[in-house]
Amino acid sequence: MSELEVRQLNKFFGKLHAVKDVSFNVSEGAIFGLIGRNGAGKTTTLRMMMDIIGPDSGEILLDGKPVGHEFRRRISYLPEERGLYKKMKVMDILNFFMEIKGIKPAAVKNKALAYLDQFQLLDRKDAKIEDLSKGNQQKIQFIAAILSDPDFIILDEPFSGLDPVNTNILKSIIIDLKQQGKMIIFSTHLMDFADKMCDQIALIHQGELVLNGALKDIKKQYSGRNISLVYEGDISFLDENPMVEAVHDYGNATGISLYQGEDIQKVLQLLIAHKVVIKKFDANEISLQEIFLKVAGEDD
Amino acid sequence: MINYRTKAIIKREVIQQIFSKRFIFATLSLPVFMLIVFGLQFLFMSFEGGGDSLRVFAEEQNTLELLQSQLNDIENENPIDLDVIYQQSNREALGVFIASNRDAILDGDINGVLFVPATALNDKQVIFYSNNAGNQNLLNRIRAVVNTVVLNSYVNDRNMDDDIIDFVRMNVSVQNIRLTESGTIDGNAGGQQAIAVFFNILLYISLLMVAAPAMAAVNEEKVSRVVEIVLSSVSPAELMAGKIVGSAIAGFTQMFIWLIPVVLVASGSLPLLMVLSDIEIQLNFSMLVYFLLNYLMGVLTFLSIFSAFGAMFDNPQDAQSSMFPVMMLIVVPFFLAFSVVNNPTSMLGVVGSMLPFFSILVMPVRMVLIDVPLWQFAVAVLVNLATLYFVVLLCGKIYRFTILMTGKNPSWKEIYKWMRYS
Repeated sequence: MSELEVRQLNKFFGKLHAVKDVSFNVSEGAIFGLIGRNGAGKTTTLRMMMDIIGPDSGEILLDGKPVGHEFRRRISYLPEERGLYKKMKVMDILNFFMEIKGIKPAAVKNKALAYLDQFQLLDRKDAKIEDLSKGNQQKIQFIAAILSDPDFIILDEPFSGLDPVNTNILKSIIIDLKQQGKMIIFSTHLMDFADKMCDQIALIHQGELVLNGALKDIKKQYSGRNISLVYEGDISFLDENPMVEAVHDYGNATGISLYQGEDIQKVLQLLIAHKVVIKKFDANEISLQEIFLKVAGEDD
Repeated sequence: MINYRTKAIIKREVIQQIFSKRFIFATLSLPVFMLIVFGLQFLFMSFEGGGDSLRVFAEEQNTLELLQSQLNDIENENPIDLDVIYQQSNREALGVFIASNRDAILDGDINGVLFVPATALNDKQVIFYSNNAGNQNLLNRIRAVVNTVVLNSYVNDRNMDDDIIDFVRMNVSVQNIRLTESGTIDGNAGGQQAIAVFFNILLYISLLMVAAPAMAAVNEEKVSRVVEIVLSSVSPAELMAGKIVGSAIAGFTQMFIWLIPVVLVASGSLPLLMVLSDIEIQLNFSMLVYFLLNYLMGVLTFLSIFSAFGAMFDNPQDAQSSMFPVMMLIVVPFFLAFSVVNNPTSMLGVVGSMLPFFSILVMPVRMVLIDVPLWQFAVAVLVNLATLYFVVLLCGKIYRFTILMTGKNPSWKEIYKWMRYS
């Protein structure tokens, strides 16, 4: 089983230390989520992994060996900010992206047509990129990223800008790729997707890695003192309660964190006493969003 | 050196450029445009020369008949659409004619009135009336005829040997000979000057037409972020090299096509340009080879510079507005080359043809006008190659540093810093 290792990456932009000693491992057949706030250093880390920009120090290893040109042939990248050659036709641009990977376009023609069909773009295969909608251009980019049958796929904010239907298509393809044993790394600031799809995560905050590991282990670490609550009524009394560390209120759904050693049952009794209508009470369940806010939102 | 990744970039660039409407239009329109310019010139000359009405008066009947005979001969050889009425007349009768036909002369119904008095056989003084003293066109056409007639009348009245008469009648013929190192070549200075100007214009137009769109394309790649996807498979050096070589191939193809009519004219194989039959052009194979190699070095140099500028800026407007100093590297040599056309051996021309950037435009102009010493060619080639080497080195660094950089535009100080420390 292959393993990709990111070891002590550092990157400076002038005086700004954008990425600080970031290290993590990604296993084959896993979906790895690189999460963090905007400007945390996710894209810079991914660019260094892709060798688009060089790190000031640190290295990327595949099965213990530094990655080289061969790695570039086995990896594909979907950048955060989308762009394609506007004057080129859909098939021509897919062919071009294959040629720079050393793949003959004829070898992947049927696969390209199948992906276009899956994304409902088959009838636009001869259209110029500039004649496609932004969403459709994004789908073409995604197809370009996976058409070469890469072993490693890096997706920077893959879901941004897609409608729910296309988001579902994309999700199902990513899961399909995972089942094929591909290593998928995606960065996102949308915790819901990361929560549902990732096996492993790394949370970067202000250039530093603050969380890293299997998602279930991280959740276990944080969830012992958490309640996920869906309710009707007023729970503002919890804000002043000495048992409660934080309340992440979204209106009708809330995450409640307790201090170490406090009893979750006491919170349930309090809610009933304050005549709060409880629709869902999930003890020990913490969302990635809550973990994220706990770790990355501390400075606000 | 050129791997499959660079080849794919080159292929895309060549296809995108050669099959673009802009490229096809420019490639075909320039020769057509030049033919139209020549054609219009010929057409205007025809209009100017046609439909003139001339009255010829002579005091001597003999002179009048000779004039009529000469003008008819010319008309038969080369129809010039000249309506001439001949009349024997003295000064008084001429005065009456002028007075009574003043309006016709002023309105241009009569374009000119020529009076050859009897005294002209002694003093060669004739009188020409027209409404436009500046109109040399008609006068130039009949001046030689009048001169011949006066001369013939003069020598016929004297008992002179035929060979003396023939000699006197003959005009001086100037044979224009260009001195070269390898020998002498019959030449026509006008033809060589025309080709020098044409080469200068071709280089200027082509360098700008190839380099400026390349800058826009690099900038568009950066702005649209497509460069990130490409750079995930190829290195910045491979991408830049592929783009530059691809654009250079497209530019070279265009230049090659543009040179075809020039070569055909030089070899006399283009009948369309018979209007220029009195212009001789001396172009040999080595001149064409040097011109194309020189162009290749030039286009690679300027493509590197323009590509680096495209990579530096976040939008096309900023890139274009910062191009002024680089544009001067093409514009100033272009104007210097124009001045060199009149004196290709001047110090300015000699130095200019061996200076970085200037050599690309100045040397081809000198080359077609004079026999440039071999050592000057050697210096020019070395200077161009050295310039290309350093430009590629520096611009490659700038490109690598800036292609993924966004935010504020770099200052010249920052650019200098990148070049120094990278």
